[in-house]
Amino acid sequence: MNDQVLMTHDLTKKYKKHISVDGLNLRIERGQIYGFLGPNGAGKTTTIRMLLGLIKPTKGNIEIFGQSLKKNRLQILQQIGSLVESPTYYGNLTGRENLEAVRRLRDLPEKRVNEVLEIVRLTKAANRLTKEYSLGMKQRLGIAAAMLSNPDLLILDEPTNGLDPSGIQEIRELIKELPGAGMSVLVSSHLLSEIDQMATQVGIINNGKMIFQDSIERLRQKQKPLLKVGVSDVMKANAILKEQGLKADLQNDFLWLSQTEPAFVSDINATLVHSGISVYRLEEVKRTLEDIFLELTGTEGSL
Amino acid sequence: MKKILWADQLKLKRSSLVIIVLLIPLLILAYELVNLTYRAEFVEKQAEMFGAGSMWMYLLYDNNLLFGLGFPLAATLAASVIANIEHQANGWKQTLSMPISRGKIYLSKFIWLTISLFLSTTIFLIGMVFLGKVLGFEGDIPWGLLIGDCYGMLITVLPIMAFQFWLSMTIKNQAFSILIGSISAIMGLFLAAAQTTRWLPLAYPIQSSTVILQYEGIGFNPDFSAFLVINLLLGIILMFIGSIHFAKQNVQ
Repeated sequence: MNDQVLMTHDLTKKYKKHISVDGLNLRIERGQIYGFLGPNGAGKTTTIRMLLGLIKPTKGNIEIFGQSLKKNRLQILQQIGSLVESPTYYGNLTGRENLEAVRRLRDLPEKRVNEVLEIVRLTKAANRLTKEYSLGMKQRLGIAAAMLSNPDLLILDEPTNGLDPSGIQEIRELIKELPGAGMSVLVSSHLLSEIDQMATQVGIINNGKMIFQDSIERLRQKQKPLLKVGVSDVMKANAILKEQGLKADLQNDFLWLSQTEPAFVSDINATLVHSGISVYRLEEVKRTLEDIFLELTGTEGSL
Repeated sequence: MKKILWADQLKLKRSSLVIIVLLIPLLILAYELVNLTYRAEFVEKQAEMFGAGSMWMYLLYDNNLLFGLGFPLAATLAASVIANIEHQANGWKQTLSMPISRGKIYLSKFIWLTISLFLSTTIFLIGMVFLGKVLGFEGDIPWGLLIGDCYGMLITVLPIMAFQFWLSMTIKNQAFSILIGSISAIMGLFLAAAQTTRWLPLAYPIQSSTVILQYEGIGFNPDFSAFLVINLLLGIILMFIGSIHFAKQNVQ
């Protein structure tokens, strides 16, 4: 499992004075579903465009399947399927003809068109003009086009945009099955909950910089519950805890401790009460991944 | 290359390219039909005055101005339609992230532009022969002159084609390229009138005819072969410069 599919080194893109992607080091291994997470405008799409060779990086290099993208672009693209932002659709063609155009360009067997139509459940609408499609259908057509060549690396930029809940569910299930066939997937999203449900690896990007890159488990570990203690005299209680060698955070008139085992909680309670401090609340507070995400990106509310 | 051409052919399905291919030849033929029937008397007098060898030659002389103005416009519009299919579909990012060289993608679409304009001139050729036969022109059909007039235009318009195609491919807003194309077609009309400026590329289509009016009357165009060589070379050079620039562009 330890072979690198995609590696970027110090990837940077500058638009005049504005730095859109800043020194990014992405790592994707075979069979991973890599969730590429970040608020709007963080540089996700710019990064993906660079990975596909659509725009040139200002600095840094990209290595895919062990080859340099600069030198072997066409060879690498042979093994990549992609969907970037709003889906591509030729409105004057039917769904099937749209895929047929891609099939001809990539020189693939004819039966693949029906297979991918089946996968994204567009078989019934295949003979309708795509200008009559709903946004969700166009999005699914885009995913079908990306999967047409049975790529080793699938790059999907916000694939669930515009889909209804059942559509999102379907796409998620579909993506989760892909690594079984040896595919690696890069999925970008601005919704943590979405990445949380399918990714095995997470990279969080904010203002063009990578602020977290590790397995989803490691992200979840940051989720460890905290003990919220409500006391009559916060300052005094904090001093007492310090004597005991415990480090507590003071926030919103509550003390926050990082341990929540029952024995530990009753110990704390006993200690504080014996010291003449009245304890009115002992609460275990679970943090959601959302909280961690916001904490990491520091952009509350602007998602 | 073949697979790219077939993919592009499919993309052109149900597009308005057919209308543009038909429009210019049919409009000019309709005008000539009216001209040669309702104004028959006047036309015959004029043909005699100009010393036209036959009505065929008069027809070629007469439609030259319209064709020279109209055909660059057809090239402008056809280039715009072909490029706009990709712009409208948000298609560049998909097409250009496929394992195909950008130069070939550019070339394939340019070939389709050439094919559609070839069809357009062929329709014009067939139309002229048909018109002459229906109106009972005397003498043999001067195939050489007719074919030279039609397909010669295809070659003289090459530089304009290459430039307009590059504009339409690289600038998303098609109003821009169509405006430039229309203005340059009209400018060609004026440039062709002066001795020096008539050697500028914009002026070529207007003068691209096998016959012209001289002091002695309607005769063969002595500069025609020079125009063909200049434009063929210039067209190919511009087309390659355009494709190199296109291949280097960032795709948004």
